[in-house]
Amino acid sequence: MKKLLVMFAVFCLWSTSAWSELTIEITQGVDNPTSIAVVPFLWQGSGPISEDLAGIVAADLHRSGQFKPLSRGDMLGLPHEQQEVFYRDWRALGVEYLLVGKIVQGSGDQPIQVQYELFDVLKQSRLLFKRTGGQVSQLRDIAHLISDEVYLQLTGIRGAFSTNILYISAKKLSGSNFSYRLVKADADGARSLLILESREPIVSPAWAPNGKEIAYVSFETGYPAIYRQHLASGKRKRLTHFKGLNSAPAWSPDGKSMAMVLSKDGNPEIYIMDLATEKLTRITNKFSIDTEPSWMPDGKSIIFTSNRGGKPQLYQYTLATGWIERLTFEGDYNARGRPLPDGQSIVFVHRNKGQFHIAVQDLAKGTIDVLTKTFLDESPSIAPNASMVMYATQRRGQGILAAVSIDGRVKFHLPSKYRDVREPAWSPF
Amino acid sequence: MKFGAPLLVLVLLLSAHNSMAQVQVIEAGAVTSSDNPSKSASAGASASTGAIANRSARAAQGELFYQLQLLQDEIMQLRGLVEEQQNSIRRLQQQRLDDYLNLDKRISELTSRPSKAMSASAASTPPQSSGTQPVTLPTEVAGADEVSAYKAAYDLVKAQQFDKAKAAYETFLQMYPTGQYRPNALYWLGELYLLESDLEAARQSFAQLDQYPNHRKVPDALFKLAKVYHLQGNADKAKQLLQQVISTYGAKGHSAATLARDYLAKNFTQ
Repeated sequence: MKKLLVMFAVFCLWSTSAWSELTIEITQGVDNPTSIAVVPFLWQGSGPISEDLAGIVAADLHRSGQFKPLSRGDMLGLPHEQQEVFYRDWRALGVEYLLVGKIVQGSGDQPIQVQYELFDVLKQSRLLFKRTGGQVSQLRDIAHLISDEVYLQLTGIRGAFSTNILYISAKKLSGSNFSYRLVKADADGARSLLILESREPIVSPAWAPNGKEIAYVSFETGYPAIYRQHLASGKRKRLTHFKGLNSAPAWSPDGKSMAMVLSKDGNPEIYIMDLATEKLTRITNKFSIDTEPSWMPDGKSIIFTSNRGGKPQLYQYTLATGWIERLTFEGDYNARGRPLPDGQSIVFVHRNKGQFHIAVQDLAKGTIDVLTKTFLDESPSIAPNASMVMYATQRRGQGILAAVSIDGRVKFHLPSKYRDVREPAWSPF
Repeated sequence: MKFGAPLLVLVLLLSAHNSMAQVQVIEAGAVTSSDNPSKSASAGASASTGAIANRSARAAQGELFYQLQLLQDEIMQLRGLVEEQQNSIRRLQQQRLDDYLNLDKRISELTSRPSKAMSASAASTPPQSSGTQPVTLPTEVAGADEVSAYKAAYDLVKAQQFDKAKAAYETFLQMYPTGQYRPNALYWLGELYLLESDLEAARQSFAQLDQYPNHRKVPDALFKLAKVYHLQGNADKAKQLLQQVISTYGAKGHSAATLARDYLAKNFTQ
């Protein structure tokens, strides 16, 4: 009975919409961030409103590292539409852009309607005037959508604030007893949703290219097995359960097949499964370890880690020809490669002087940039707009998630208050 | 096919093992357990001498496995080395090409500088061997690109890569329709066509030089044109042109006139 109550309590906790397991600490931004004022949106409905839309937008923009939102205490006025804007006041505060808006109560399937306007303070002109709407439960979605629009307008890059992340969190219960959770959350760590909980490890979460399905490896039967699961319905299917290793599922860009690592024929090799027929094709055959496959965005080749040259390095396998080419030559450890959406560069874990960092390599030039200064960095995952890389690292003995911009200038941490967090996977758009 | 590669490795391994056994056959008396790999290699040797004990067979198997792993490690290391060297070679090749292009660019810049001495020394073509006389190109300033394109084509002629040279001159003519070296290019293109007996194309190339009546290549071009007409069977036209070369350039002692005289004497009985 007591157990049931606890479970119920946990359920309540998880289902609270704004509950978040992760917090955000921005550790480094660009030198000259653009100054923007996001004025609290006016709420013209009855009763209190559950989310602070302007606050979420300001936090989104701040997290990108490229914007410095004006603190609310410094605002000289709180305009909500164009007629109320006095450019002089904002210019005096050194504000370059101004976002205002109001929320009104609608009806039918859009009980919440939001109108927002973006101004260029220096040019004294309106850049955006838009309306959007949705359910009360979608307030955070609306806020992220506004962030995306503003980001696109001001940087020319599509925002990734409306995307999600998957991650694994672990907590030591007692002795060798752990509780593992596969969690889905907004890209800002909010609204975490428990997907799977197990006493056995869960690893390698991966997104389907349509963002509606995920794949992961769970040891819940005592042995590793690859599962695919539909997010909305929660329906899942076990894809492989071979003797030995079943790991690192990676959906192809067209969603029709999945690369994975199986050791059923001896040692870890990379296989491609046709998801319609579940037929497997082995693409590597070596006495060395081949693992961590990842598809190039054009779907024509696969990047993987192999120690066929004595040390772990990244290789590229071209599907049409079977040609395998080594990609990394700097350092004695390069693993877990992930291509950027343009296919021009790869991000991977690079060991330099005994330290594991996240690095990016230009494929044409072969030059590499080490992006992080944290220690024991692992599992990089790239935002769909290629602006940021999220990865797992260690801080004070605890596993946390961290993110770094692709130019290395912006950094933030997403520590969890209670648990070790690892293996982030950033969703597609 | 699936078992082909491991089988090959096994065969290689066996042969390697045999040769090792042959080397160590002298100390083959001491048969030891498989915990000492270097000694247990001799177990294989004792097996090859015929004294097959169960124990030594098992030791040999263990040894085989051990050797297989050693070999795999060795192959992996060698593979890594090959990959790294391949990469170094590729980088060096690229570096060499970049350096060369850089140097070439700088040289072109130097030669295109409007200094008389510089451009004269860089723009003069070396003597060629196909019967016509050395010709010095005009010393007027031409664009750096034009000079290097012309030189590149001329170098192909010197290297006797005639097909490539022909293509290079054709491209040159398209790219620099009003270039300083156009007459020279036309002349050489004519020579190249003549070389492969494309008489009509050769005729057209040589004939175009009449747009440049004062150009140094004109006497040679006229002589060649006569030759082409003769080869085409137009003896009258050929004779007329040869006589024109002699009458126009004979007094100046131009070599084309001498050639024309010889050609006329040899092929036309007057």
